[in-house]
Amino acid sequence: MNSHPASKPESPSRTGAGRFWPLVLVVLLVAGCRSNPKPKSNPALLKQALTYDQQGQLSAERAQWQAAARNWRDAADTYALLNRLGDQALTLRKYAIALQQSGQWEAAHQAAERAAQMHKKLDDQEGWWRNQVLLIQIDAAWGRTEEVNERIQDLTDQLATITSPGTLALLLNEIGLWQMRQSEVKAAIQSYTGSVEAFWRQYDDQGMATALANRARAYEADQALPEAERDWEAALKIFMQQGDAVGISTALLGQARTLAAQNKSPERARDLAQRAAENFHRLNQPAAEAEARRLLDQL
Amino acid sequence: MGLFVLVAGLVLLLAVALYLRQVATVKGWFLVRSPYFTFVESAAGIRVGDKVRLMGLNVGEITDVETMPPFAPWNICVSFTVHKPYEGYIWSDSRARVVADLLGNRGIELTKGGVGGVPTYLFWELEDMPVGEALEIKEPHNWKFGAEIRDEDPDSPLTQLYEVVTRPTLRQLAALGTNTVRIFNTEDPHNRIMAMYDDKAGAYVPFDEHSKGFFVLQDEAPALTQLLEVVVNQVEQALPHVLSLTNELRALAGDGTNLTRQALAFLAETHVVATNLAALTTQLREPDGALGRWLLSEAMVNDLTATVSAARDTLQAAGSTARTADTNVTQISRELLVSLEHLSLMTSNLNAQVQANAFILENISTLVRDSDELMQGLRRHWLLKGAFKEDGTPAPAEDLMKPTLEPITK
Repeated sequence: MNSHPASKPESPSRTGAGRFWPLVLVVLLVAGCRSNPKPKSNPALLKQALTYDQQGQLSAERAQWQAAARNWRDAADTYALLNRLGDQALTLRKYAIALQQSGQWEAAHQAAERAAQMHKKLDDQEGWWRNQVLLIQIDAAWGRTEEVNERIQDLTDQLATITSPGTLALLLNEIGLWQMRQSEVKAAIQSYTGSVEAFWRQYDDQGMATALANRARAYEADQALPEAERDWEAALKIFMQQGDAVGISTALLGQARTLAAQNKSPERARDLAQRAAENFHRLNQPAAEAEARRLLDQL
Repeated sequence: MGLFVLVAGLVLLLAVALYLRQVATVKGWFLVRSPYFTFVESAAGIRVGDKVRLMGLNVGEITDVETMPPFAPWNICVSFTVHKPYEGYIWSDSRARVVADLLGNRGIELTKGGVGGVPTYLFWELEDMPVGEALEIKEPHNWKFGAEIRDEDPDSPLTQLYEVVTRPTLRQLAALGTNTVRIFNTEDPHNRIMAMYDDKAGAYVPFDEHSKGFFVLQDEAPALTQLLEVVVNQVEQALPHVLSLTNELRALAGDGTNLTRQALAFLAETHVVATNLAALTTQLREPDGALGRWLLSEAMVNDLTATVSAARDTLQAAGSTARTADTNVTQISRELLVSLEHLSLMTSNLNAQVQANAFILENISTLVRDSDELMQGLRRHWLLKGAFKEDGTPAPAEDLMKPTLEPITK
C-alpha cells in the first residue's frame, strides 16, 4: 500500500504496477528539479544575524571570548534559518575561534570541522583552507599531535591550490611550527620565510611580525645568530607599531637571548631581558617571566 | 446637563494637553539645545532650519546664517544648535563639515570629537575653590578640573582640563603657591548648560545665555563645479602614469630578470591596480553602473539639467551665474566621461600585460602606487562612490584568524 504523504488517494480504476506510474513520475520530477534552496529574504532576521555577528566581533576585540562565542553561535543559527550557508560557515569558523580562545578544544574542533564541511559543500576553497589552518591550530593547542601530523602531511601536497596569500601565510606558519617540533629546522626556516612573504603581500603586519619572530626562533635553533638578531629586531619594531604586548615582550627576550649568545652588547642584552621580565610579570605569564629572569641571571 | 458639559470640557482639555505634549516631544521643544557656530566662505545652499547631522543622525538645526564684516577673514557665520544628549559628542576637536549634495544643497555635518579635546559644554556648576578647601573634599574622584594650571613650563600643565582631581595634585599646587582651583562636581548634573569651554583661556567659563556658543572649526566642501573639476584633473593627471606603466611593462616583456622578493610584492600591487581599473570601467560600461547611468543615459542627462536649473538660484546667491554653472557642469561632465573612457580603453591592455609578465622591476613601483592611490581616492570620492557600488546584501565581517606565535616555554 502506498503510504507516501504527498501521494494522491488511489484511483479505484487503477490496478497492479500501473497505478504507481504517476507517483514514480512525480518522484523523478521532484528529484530531478531539486536544487539548493535560495536564501530566504527576511530583512529583520538578517539584521538580527548581523547584529549578533557585530556583537561577537566587539567581544572578540575586547578578548571576551565566551561572550563572542555566544554571539557567533546565535549568528550562525540565525544564518541557518535564513539559509545563508556561506555566512553560516564563516560565522561557525568565528565561533570555533572563540571557543579555541576560551580553551574549549573539543567544541572548537567540532565547530571548525562542521564549518569545513560546509565550505566544501559550497565549493568554497578559500574558506575550506582557512578551516584547515584553524583545525591545525586547535589540535596543536589541544595536544593532538598525531592529528596535526596527519593533517599537515595531507595538506602539504595541495599548497599550490591556495589562492589567498593570507591563508597561505597562516598555513606556512603552522607548518613551520610543526617542522620545528619535528626538529626540521632548515625546513621550518623555509616555511617561515614563505609565510613572512605571504603576509607581506597581504599587508598583514601583525602576521608578518609573528612569522618573523617564529623564524628568529628557528634561526636561533640553527645557530644563525646574526639572522636571528635581525629578525627579532624587525619583529619588535612591528609588534611595537601594533601595540602587541605579548609580541613585544617575546621579541625583547629573543633579542636579549641572541645578543647574549653572541657575547654582544651585554648591557643592552641585560636591559632587554629586564624589560621582557617586567612585561611578562605584568602580563601574568610566570613561565615566560621565569625564562627571562634565568637569562638575566646568566648575564 | 451641567455635569455632562463639565466632563466633556475636562476630556477636551486632557486631549489638548496630550496633543501638546506629543507635539512638544516630536518637535523637541523641551530639549536642551547647545549653541555652536562656524564660518564658511559661501552661504549657497545653507538655510535656516536645515538639519545638522552627526554620525548620520539629525541632531540639531541651523538657527542663523549671517554675513561677517567686509574685512573679516571669513564671509559667513553659520549658527546652529545641537540638542541633548548629542552635545556630549561635540568636543573641542570636533569639526563642522559643510557637505554638498547633487542638488547644490549644503548642510552641516559634525564630526565626533574626543580624541584630543574636551567636552564643549558642562552641565555641572563650576566652583573656584581655595586649594586648602579642595583638599578637604571627601571624594575628590567625583570632581574634575575646569581649568588648566601651568607652571613655568607651558608645555606641561600641572593640571589638565577635565582631569580627575587628586589629592597629590592639589598638594603639589598648594606647594607651588596656587590659591584657588576651578573644579566641578560630576555627581549631580543640572538640566541646563552651566559652563562652556573657552579655548583661548584653556578653561571652562560660566555659560552666558546670550553667547553665540562654541566655535567649531570648519571643514568646508567646495561647490559642485569645483568638485567635478578636481575629479577631471585627478583622472587626467593619472593617465600619463598609467600609460607609462603599460609602456614599461611592455619593455620588460622579454626581460629575464630574476624573480625577487620585491618583484613579487610589486606584482601583487599591480594586480590590485588592474582590479581597480577593471572595476571602474565595468561599472562605467554597464547601464546600471551609477556613474555610467548618470553620465550616459538620456533621462539622467535631462535630470541633471533639471537639477542644475533647480540649483540655479542657490548658485546665483553664491556669486556664480546660472548660465555659467549650467554650461560648466555639462562641459565638465563630458570631459570626465572622455577621461574615464580613455582609462577604460587602457585597462584591458594593462591587465593582459600584467598577467603575461611575472617579472616587474622596482623602478615601476612608484607608478603602480600612484595609480592605486588614485583609484582608492576615486572610490572614496562622493561623486564616484556610486561607480564602485558593491553587492547590496550585507555580509558578516571576516574572521580574526591569527598566526600562532611559538610559545617561549614548551
